[in-house]
Order: sequence, then structure tokens, then C-alpha cells
Amino acid sequence: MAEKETSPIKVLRDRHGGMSDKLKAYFKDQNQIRKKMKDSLKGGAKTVPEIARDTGLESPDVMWHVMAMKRYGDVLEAGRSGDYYKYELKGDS
Amino acid sequence: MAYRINPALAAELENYGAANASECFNCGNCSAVCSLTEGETVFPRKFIRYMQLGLTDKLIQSPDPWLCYYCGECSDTCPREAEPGELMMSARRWLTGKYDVTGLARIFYTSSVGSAIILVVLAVILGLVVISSSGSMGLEEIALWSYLDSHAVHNLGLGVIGLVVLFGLVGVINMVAQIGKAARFAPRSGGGGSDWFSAIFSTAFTEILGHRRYITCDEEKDEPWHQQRWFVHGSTAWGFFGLLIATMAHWILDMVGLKETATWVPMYSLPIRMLGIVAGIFLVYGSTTLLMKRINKGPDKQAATSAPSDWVFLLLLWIAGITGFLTLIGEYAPPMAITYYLLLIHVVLSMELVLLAPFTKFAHVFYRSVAIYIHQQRGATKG
Amino acid sequence: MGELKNRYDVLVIGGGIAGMQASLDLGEQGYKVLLVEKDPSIGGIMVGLNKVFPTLDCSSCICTPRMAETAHHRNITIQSYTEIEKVEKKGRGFSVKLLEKPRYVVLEDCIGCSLCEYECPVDVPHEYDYDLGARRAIYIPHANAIPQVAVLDVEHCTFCGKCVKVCPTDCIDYTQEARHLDLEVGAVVVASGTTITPMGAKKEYGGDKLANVMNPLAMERVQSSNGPYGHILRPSDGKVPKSIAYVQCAGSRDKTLGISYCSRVCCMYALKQAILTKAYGDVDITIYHMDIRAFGKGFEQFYRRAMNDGINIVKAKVAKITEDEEKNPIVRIEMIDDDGRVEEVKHDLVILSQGLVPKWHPDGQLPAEEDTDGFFRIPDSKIHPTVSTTDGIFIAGVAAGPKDIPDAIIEAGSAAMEAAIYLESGKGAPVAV
Repeated sequence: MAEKETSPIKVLRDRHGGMSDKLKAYFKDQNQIRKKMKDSLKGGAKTVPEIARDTGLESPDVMWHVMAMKRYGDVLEAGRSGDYYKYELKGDS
Repeated sequence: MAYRINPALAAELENYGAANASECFNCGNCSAVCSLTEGETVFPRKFIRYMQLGLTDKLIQSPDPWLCYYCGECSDTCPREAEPGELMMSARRWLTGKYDVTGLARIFYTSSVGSAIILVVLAVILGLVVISSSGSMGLEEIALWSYLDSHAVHNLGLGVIGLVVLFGLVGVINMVAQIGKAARFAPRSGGGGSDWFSAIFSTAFTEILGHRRYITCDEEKDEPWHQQRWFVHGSTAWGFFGLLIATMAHWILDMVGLKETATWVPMYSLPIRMLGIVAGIFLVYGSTTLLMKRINKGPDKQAATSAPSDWVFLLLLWIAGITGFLTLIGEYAPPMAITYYLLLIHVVLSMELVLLAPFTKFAHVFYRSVAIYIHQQRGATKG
Repeated sequence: MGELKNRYDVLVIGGGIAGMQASLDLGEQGYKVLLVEKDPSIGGIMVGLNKVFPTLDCSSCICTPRMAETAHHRNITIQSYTEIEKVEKKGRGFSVKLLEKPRYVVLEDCIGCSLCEYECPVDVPHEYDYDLGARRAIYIPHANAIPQVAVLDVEHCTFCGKCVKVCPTDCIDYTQEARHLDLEVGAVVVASGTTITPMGAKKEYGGDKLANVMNPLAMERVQSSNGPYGHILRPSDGKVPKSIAYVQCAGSRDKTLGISYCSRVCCMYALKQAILTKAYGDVDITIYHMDIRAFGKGFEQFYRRAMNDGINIVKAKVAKITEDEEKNPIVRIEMIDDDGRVEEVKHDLVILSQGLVPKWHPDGQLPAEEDTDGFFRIPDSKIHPTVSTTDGIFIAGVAAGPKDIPDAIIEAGSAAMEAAIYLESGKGAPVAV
């Protein structure tokens, strides 16, 4: 049964020559950024500039990833501090 | 203050350049993109508006058109392709015609045939005057000043300079009188302006010799330094001033009886000779490059359109420079008759160049300097 | 939506508001319509807009019923995620070659549950939100998408196979391949729509490198309650902007860009966005313009309303945009209506009011000529504003030139009627004289 389920994905992967180097780098980057951001947010709710300062990441990148994480339920909006909203980790992530 | 409207102004200005003021819809992109705008000295949009409205007085009463160095960024970015840079150039040409009382400047800016006739007739007259007192062309050895009479040439030169000073002054007085009619000419106390001495100092050294505004104008360009407009222009200007000083110095030596023109160069006048040679190199480099740019109609936006006046000025300058050098070479080369003719051409066309200064593109030397002085004195910011 | 057949009365190219309207108008008259849309969902630009001017109605609330109506119409077949390969004149009709791109999801079986999307590990900038938000490598195009079916972006797929494991209907099919479709139609309506001038078109405006210089369509998404941020924030750092500027004519009425025409919608969408942003927050909004063109019904009142709401309307063409170290955009302008001084004004966010340019240049794929501006040429634009240079091909909406939504809808109706007339006259029916 397991054999039957994984074989079509092999077909797809072979047809596209596997993951491109560009995608591999992109995916690795994404996972590293997410890890840094999650570590930072473990210290409590933060604004985008605060996360950027804490992690050393560029703030436009942090902004994009925060919004992506918010969309898929990894972070929640947690009140406001001045001109910025704060974001916190969702309990189980 | 009431203004008289001249509905024909825009059409009149079209004779002086390759742009049509009516293309502009006054968005202000040109003024905002300009790197030379400061305080209330803002152009070109305001001046194009004057052209469209026929506000002759507003146009003639401002020194600001002379503060533009035509980098062309306004033209490159104009959403209407109305060529604001060319319109400012047209304004300067038109103003030169307005300041000049003889009408010659207008002919040089608007008529090729007229320009050619004046050029030839004047050259013939000057040539006849010079030749009338000429001696023999010795071919055993080159003795330039036994061919031309140095005193006659000096006296003619004096006359020419006298005329230039006269017409130059008349033009400048006209200009200043017009600008004086505008209330904002009055120097403001505490308005950021300078006293007359520091204004003259910064005009002469920082601006005219240092080309500060010219450099600012071109700060966005990334050409090699020797092709940059400020350097090419500077090279020409420094060369001309250097030659002027060298010539004057020789003449003074001659007058005080220390050294006759064309006698062997004694040690103490060697620096003067060297100044002349170095300045000549600068002049020839500058004027050759300027001519090439105009012949190629680029890369500078400014070089794309040329009035007869631009050609007259540059050609005279270039020929004067080249014949000067060739004559110098002829002095040390085996004797040839052509060396004498080169000297004749050099003397005649140099005279013509200087004599026509108030009426050709050359006139910007006076008007731009005065405008910069006024600008320095009144200060850039509002009082 | 029905099974794909090999003969339709009309091919409609483009499933935006104009294409849907033309399809509905033809379908209602009994013609069989094939609506081809290159994106995974119909709806075009309109479904992603926040509100429409000058009524401030919710845009998707108007658009989604049209989408549903189109999708459920007995005479309309939607062929989404499909490109036009070639349309050729054949007699009075046309032979059509289409390329259906693989979704890797069986359209009929997917129930749009999004489980695959939630399981997918790759986040990708979402085209629908102009890259400000994220989607996954497998995703439902957007909340209002029709068909409400997932699509796999294989370029971003890590081939982990998680999606297929969570799919409750076993509808993910990794073995799908592109399909070439050949069919015949009696007439063609082109409603291929528009896109905005590229953000980097004008180098003086930062060449698309400045983080807080935004695309106006992206601003529509940011303003939408289902947008990428959920608030009006700026993209560089999520700051709630206190000062917003609109730069009008950033992508049209500019000969240096080769776009000398007026795009007709930018003044109004800028005013609309300004009014809406102002309504929700304490913010200064300035619109820098060459002149405000409020030429339609209710538009002038809308413009006056914006001024009464305290929107600053400043006559000045922005010459340059730069940014400071906090990525605050700085615009350089001449204060024409003031004393004419040149100023550099700092804002938190700048929106470039980009113009409209044609989205599709057929380049031999369709026998209808383009005009010098790149839109389809309409030889007799006064009397037949939707008739192209080729008999049987009709142009609707912005494909023929810039226009707003009501005008696009009117033209779609006109193109549908011209197509119907063309089909009827071809039948050789007696004409009363």
C-alpha cells in the first residue's frame, strides 16, 4: 500500500529532475529563518523590527515570514506596541 | 505689478532652439529633478510657464536662466518630452540677443547665412588692416615679426579690446538694468546672501574657475573625467584664460621695453611661455572635444542642437588654438612660407574671436558671471 | 460546467469581469460558450480588489456572484488554467488550439478543503497578494476562487508526498500532464485584460528596489480584510503608516516610458484608497498629481469628498523617490501651487499609481492586430468599439484600451452582441429589407 502511494510522486520528481538547486537553497533558507524567528518569539511577543533586531534578519524578510506564519497558524497577532503590531507563537508550535 | 503679455514670445523663442514650449503641461518634474535648484532659485518649469504665457518681462528680469548648465536630466525625464533643457538654452540665446543693442547677437543665433557673411566680411577687413602694414616673408629663417608689424597688431588688438569692453559693458548694463526692475534683485539683509567682496571672490574662483555648479550639474553622470562636460568646458575656459594672461604679460613686457615680441625668450619670461603652451594644450583639447560632441550631436543632450553662434564661437576658438600651435612649430621647423600664412590666420581669427565675443556664444562669459554674482549676493534662500 | 466538446459557438478569452459578462450575455441567448482562463481561477483583477469607485461597494461581493453565475451556467464551459496556443481563421469560424496546464489535482474530485495546503511545508510568495502574502506549493488560489480546487506549483514542490496522504478524496494526481486541446468555434471574444506598468519601469522611482514603494493593486490586497496582513501595514517592517503618498501618473502619461496615454482609473483608485485608509486610521495622505481626472458619473463628487475628508491633493509630478536608512520613502517635488520651491518630503509608505498596459500580446497566436499603444486595434472605434481588425474576433474590456469596471462590462455586452450578430448573419438567415 505504501509502495502504491509513493510511486506517483517519484514519477513527478523524475519528470522534473528532482528539486532544483534554487529551490533547495530557498527551502533551506526558509527553514533557517523560521527557526531563528521561532527562537526569538519563544522569549515573548515581539514586533517585526524587534524580531529583526533579535535575529539579525532583514526586516522585510521577517515581515514576510511573520505574515506567512500568521496565515498558516504558527503565530498569532498579540496586541500592539506603538505603531507596530506584536506577534506571538501559537501555543503548540 | 502688471505685466504686458507678448503672445508671440513662445514662437519667438522657437527661433532660438529646438523645442516648443507649448508641449509642456507644467507638472514640475523638471524643476524637481534638477540638481541645481536651491531655495527660491527653481527652474526650468517656471520659465517655460513664462514662455507659454508670454511674460517677456518675467523672463528677461531673471538671472536664473544663466544658472542652468544643461545637464539634460530634465529633458531625459520629461513626461511630455518637452525638452525643458533646450528651452532654457533657447532662453539664454534669446536673452543674449535682447541684451545686445547691435542686433548682431540675434543674427548669430538665428541665421546661418547672416552669420557666415559677418564672419567673412569681418575677417577680410581685419586681414586687410593687418596686411596693410606687413613686411616681407623671409625664407632663410623664420622671422615672423618682420612679416607682421607687432606694433600695428598690438594697436589693432587694443582697438578690438576697447570695442569688446564697450559692447560687453553695454550688454551687461542692459542685463543688470532688466534684472534690477524685478524687486527680488535687491540684496536681502540676513537672507543668506554674501557681501560684494565674497560674492565676487566666490564667483571668480569657486564658480568661474572652479566650475562648482557645473560639477554639481553633472553629478549623476558616469563618464570618464576627461569626457565630463565640466572638465571639457573647464579645459577650454582655463586654456583661454591662460592664453589671455600669457599674451597680456608679453605685451606688458614689450610695453615696458623689457622684451620685444618674438625676440628670443629670456629666462624670466620662460614661465610665461610655458603658461602659453600649457594653456594652449588645454584650449585645443577642450575646443576639439566640444566641436566633436556637437558634430556627433552627443553624447551630451546639450550637443544635440547647435545654433550658428555656437559654431562661430567654437570654430574661431579652435582655429585660433590650432594655428597658434602650428605657428609655434613653424618657428622651429625648416623655414616654410606657410608658417607666415598660419600666423596671419592666427592673428586675424584671434582678433575676430575676441571682437565677436559680445555677440556670439562667447558672451555667456559675461552674462553667466554676472548672473552668478547676483545669485551669490542675493543668497539662495528667501529673506 | 459540462464536458469539453469539440465545437462551441463562441470562444471567450479571459475570465475577468469583461470575459464573464460576455460569456453570460452570449450564454443567456443560447449560444454555447467556452471561456478560457489562463489562471487557476476566474475572476480576473476585480475579485482581488477591495472596493470599487465611486460607490465604495465591496468589489468581490459584486464579482463573486458573477463568477458563480458563469460557472453554473448551462451554456458556459469554463476551461481554467489553460492557455491559448493558436486561433486561426477557418472559413467564417476559427480553429482553436489550447494548452491545459496540469494542476496535479483532479478538478472534478477536489472539494477545496485546503488540507493539502495546510500540510505542505513550502511557503511561496502569493501572486494573488502581489507577493506580500504567502501560499503553499499546493494551494487553493484564493478564498473566492472558482473553481474552488487546489493546484500544485511544481516549481516549488519538494516532492515530499505529504499532500496526497492527507487528501480525503484522493484527488491529487502527480502523473497529470499538459493536454493539448483542438476545437472549433464560430466567433471569438477577446477579454484578455490588463496588468499594471512594471514597478521598475521608471528608474527615478527606485527601480522596484524600495521596500515601501508599493504597487497599487498590492495596496488593494493590503486594504482588503482578507488581504495578506489583515491591517494596513507597510511591507518593510509592519509599521502602521502615519503618512502615505500616492504618486500619480507613475506609469502612464509619460512619453519617456513609451506610454503617453492616460490610464483612466488611477486618479479614482488613488482617491478611493485614500478615502478608505483615512476612514480606518489616523493617517496623513497626500496625492501628488499632474491633474486629477475625475471624468465619470459621480467621480467629481468623489474627488470633492476626498478633499473634504482631509486628503492633501498636491499638484506636483514626483521627480525622484529615494529612501532613508529606516526605509522611509522620500519624494522630491516642486511645490508648484505654493512658492515653487523644491522639497523632499518623507512618508512612511508610497504607492505608485501605475498605469494600465495590455496583459496579452498575441504575437501570431491570434489574427487580430495590435495598435501602436499595444492594445488591440479597433479600426472603427466610434461606431463599432468592440470590433477588431479580423471578422469574427471581438474585443471586450481593457484589452481594447484602459477603462474602469462599468465601461468594461458595457463593452463586454457590446462584444457579445457583435458576436451574436456575426454568428446569425453567417447562418444566411433572410434579412428583411
